[in-house]
Amino acid sequence: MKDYLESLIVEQINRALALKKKIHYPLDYSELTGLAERCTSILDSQILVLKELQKELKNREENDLRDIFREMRVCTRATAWIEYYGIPALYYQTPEIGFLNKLMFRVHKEIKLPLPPPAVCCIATEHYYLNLFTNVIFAPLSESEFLLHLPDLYHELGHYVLENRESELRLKAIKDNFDLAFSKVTDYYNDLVKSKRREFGPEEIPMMIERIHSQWKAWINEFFCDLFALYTVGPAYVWAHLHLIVKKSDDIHELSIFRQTHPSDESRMRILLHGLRNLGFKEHVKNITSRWSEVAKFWGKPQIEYQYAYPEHLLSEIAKLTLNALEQSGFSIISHEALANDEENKIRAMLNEAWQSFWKDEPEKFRNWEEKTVQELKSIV
Amino acid sequence: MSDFGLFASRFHSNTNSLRHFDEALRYFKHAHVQKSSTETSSQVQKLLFVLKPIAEMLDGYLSKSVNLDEQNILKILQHRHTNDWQRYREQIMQLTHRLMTGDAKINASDFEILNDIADAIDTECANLFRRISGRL
Repeated sequence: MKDYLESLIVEQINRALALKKKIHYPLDYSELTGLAERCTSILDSQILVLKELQKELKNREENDLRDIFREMRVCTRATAWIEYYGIPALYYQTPEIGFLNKLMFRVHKEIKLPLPPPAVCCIATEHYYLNLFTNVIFAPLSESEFLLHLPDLYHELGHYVLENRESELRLKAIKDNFDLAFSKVTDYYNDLVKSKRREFGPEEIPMMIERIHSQWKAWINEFFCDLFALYTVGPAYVWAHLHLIVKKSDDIHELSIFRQTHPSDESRMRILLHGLRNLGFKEHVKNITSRWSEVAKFWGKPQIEYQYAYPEHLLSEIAKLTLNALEQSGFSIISHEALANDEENKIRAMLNEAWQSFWKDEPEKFRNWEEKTVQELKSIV
Repeated sequence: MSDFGLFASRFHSNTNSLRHFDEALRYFKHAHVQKSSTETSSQVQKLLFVLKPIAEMLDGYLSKSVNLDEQNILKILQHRHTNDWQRYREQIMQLTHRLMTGDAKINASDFEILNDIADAIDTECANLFRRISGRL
């Protein structure tokens, strides 16, 4: 096994070296410099770890290799991640990638993001997602031609902020409030489990509540990112989210005891409405609530256990804690005044205007306006 | 964020926990470990970062840790120790308790347990990675 591990380590080192060669300098778009540096640095660190493992391996007995085996696997996965989710954005520097990266740079300035902007790559095979390891947001190929879902970029930025909350001092308030929020969630579920055990009801109920609590580890991230997007880009995000639900949701009251990555769409809309109220966008609360109640009728009623999953008081508290954290961290929070100040908030104003136009105009007229606006956007970023 | 993103996020957290845990494990492998040094305490914390949420779960409490999927890791461990689960469960709790009370002495059977736990995290990471890569 020692010999085999040695060969595996050498193979992985060579793979990392080959990937480094795929990054061609000079880059076409300077906004991708951060990504190029990040990929290089991650690959270098994997090579370093693998070389250390090589040395360590020499001093080990055949029956003492478990941690080396694991570390080699960790390095293999890390290198594969760079290959799948980092290098492609650098290898294929298309005009769409160039535009979205310039746009991201503008967005990060507008919202006062206290971190370098992440890269964007439009080769996604599904809706937007962020790869936290490479800091690349993946968007579908044609996103650079449309406006209505661009607010989803802000949601992905939320994940990026959350990921850096421990290492970036300026995000300390976010770390503290996030921990506090999860602590409140845990306290609530610990009490609930205790009370259900006292009731001597079916054993499945406390077990299900334990599973729900476990799912909250992922759900709380999503709630935070939804609120982050709302508080930074404004009502446009809530509309974009509603739009996505209408197009893609299979069950707005989703609740599974197995691995459910996202909270239900119904709970996400509820927390966003709390957020909108916190911002004072009363008119939008009214309009969105009205549209949402029409849309929600297309799905059935929730199962009984749904009552345990998304308690109203937790959603309300998380919405407040998140706003407070973003304010303390110096983010530019959206407001009526900010949207009126077109020059400083051009992108945000444009994305909110797009939704106004979508609801107000005929579909073809809206599309003409959208095409013109996208061209304008491309010329100013 | 899509399902991909969520699995990627859980994968990232669990991988970081595994890396720190393994670093600590390697530290304690060396014979010259000083029981009372600052470095030793810091390495004990890395172990406890993983062990505490697991022990809390075994004790019937929900954990406030967001960096580890302790329920899944426990399931993997339980699956691998079905025959001696009660005894094994006690051993994990005792080891965690000892480390929490400042006893940093790790013997051969402790290493076995720690390696089992690290293997379980590695399995969870591999599982998440397969989901990310669309192989599940």
